[in-house]
Amino acid sequence: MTLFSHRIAEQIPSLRRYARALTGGNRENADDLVQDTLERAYAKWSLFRMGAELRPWLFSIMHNVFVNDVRRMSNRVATDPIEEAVAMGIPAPQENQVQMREVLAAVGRLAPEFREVLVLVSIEEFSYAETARILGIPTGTVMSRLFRARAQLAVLTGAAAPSDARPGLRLVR
Amino acid sequence: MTKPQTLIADDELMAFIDGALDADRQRQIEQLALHDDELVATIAALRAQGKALRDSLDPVLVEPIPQRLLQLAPPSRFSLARVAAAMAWVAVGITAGSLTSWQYLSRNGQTGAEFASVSPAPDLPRFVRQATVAHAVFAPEVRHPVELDSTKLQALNAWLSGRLGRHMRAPDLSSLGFSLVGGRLLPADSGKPAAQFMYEDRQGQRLTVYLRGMAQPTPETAFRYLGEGGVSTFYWVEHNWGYALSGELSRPQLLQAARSIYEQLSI
Repeated sequence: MTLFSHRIAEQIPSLRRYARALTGGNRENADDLVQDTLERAYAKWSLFRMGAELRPWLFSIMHNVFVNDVRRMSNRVATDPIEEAVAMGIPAPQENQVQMREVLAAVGRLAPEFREVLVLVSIEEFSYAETARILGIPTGTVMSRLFRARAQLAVLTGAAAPSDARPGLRLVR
Repeated sequence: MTKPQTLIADDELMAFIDGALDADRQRQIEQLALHDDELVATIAALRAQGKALRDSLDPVLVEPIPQRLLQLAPPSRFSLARVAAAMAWVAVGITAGSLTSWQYLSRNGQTGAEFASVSPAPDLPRFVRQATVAHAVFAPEVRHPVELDSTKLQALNAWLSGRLGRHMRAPDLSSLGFSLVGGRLLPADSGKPAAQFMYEDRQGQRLTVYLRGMAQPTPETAFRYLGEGGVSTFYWVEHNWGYALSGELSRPQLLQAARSIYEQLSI
C-alpha cells in the first residue's frame, strides 16, 4: 500500500476507478484523465475551502477535465473509434472478452453525460443532490439520465430481455 | 399491466434501487413487489447490473498506482493519520463491492450462449421483445440515437455487415419521407448480434429497423403485427433472419415501410 503524501492523493484510487468507467475501460486514457485532474487540483488547492468535502470537489474537477476532453475529441475529424476499428479491421469491443471488460466496454458506449451520472451514483455512491452539484445540473436531470443510462446499459450488455415474459427493464412511460 | 395506484415512476424506481426513497415509499414498493413478478424481475435486473458494474470497476482500487500520478503531489505536510483513513476507505469500498450479493446474480453471470441453451423458449418472442425494447430505449434519444451516423454510410454498412456476418445495406426509405439517421450494433442473449437502423421524417418521427440471425431454425413468417403502448411493430422471419420495424405510425403506413424493407434486405 502506498503512503499517500497529500489529502488529494488519498483519493487517487477512486479517481482512477471513476476515470476507468468514463473511458470505457481504457487504462491509459483513464490515467491521463486522472493526471490532468490531479494537476489541476494541486494547482487549485489553495482555493479549496477547509471543511468542505474533498471528494465532490475532486470529482467536479474531473468532470470539467472530462467535458473538455470530450469536446476536443468531437472537434477532431475522423476519430470515431468505430470507424477506425472498421478501417483497421479490428472487431469492435463487445465480443470475445470476459464479462467484466464487456460491461466496461458497454459503459464506454453510453453517451458521456450518461456515463458520468451512472458511475457517480452507482459506484461512487454520491447522492442525487451531490451528483447534481458535481455535474452542475438539476437533480431531476440526474434522475432522468440515470434511468436512461441504466436502460441503455441493459440493452448494450444484452440483459434487457432475459426472457420474453420478463423484460430486464420495464419502461413505465 | 400494473394498476394505476401501484404505478411506479421511472425516477422512483431509480431512487428505490439507490436507497434514496423515504422509508414509507420504500416499504410500499417492497410490498408491491410481493405481488408483482415483473417488478421483482426489474429490481433484480437493476441490482444485478449494479453488481456487475461494481465487480468490473472495484479491482481498480487495489491496482498499484502509476508513479506518474503519485509524483504530482507537492511536498507534503500530511502524514500517517491520513494514510490510515485512506486505507480504511479503500477497504470499505472493496467490501461493499464484494459482499453484496443478489438473488439473481447467477443469471447475470451466464453468457448469452449458456442462456440460450438452458432456455427452451423459442427465440422469436425474445427477438420481438428485444426489437421493441431497443426501439423504446434509443428512439427518444436526442443527442446519441446511433453509434455511427448516416454521414458515414459506407462505414456503417461495412461495419454492421461484418459484425452480423451477412452483406447488407441500410434500407433506403426516402420515398416514404424517412431519412436514415444511422445505426448501432446491439448484443442479444441468443449470442447473435443485432443491428438497429434508425430513420426520421421531417417532423422528427422515428422508425427503427432491428435485425439479427435467429438462435435456432425458425419457420418463415408473413408480416406479423404487434401494437403496444403507441408503438407498432411489424416483424417477420426469412431464411432464419428476424426483422422488426417499429414506430409510432398508423398500421398501413408502417406496413408500407415494412414491405420496402423486406424487398431491400431480403437475401
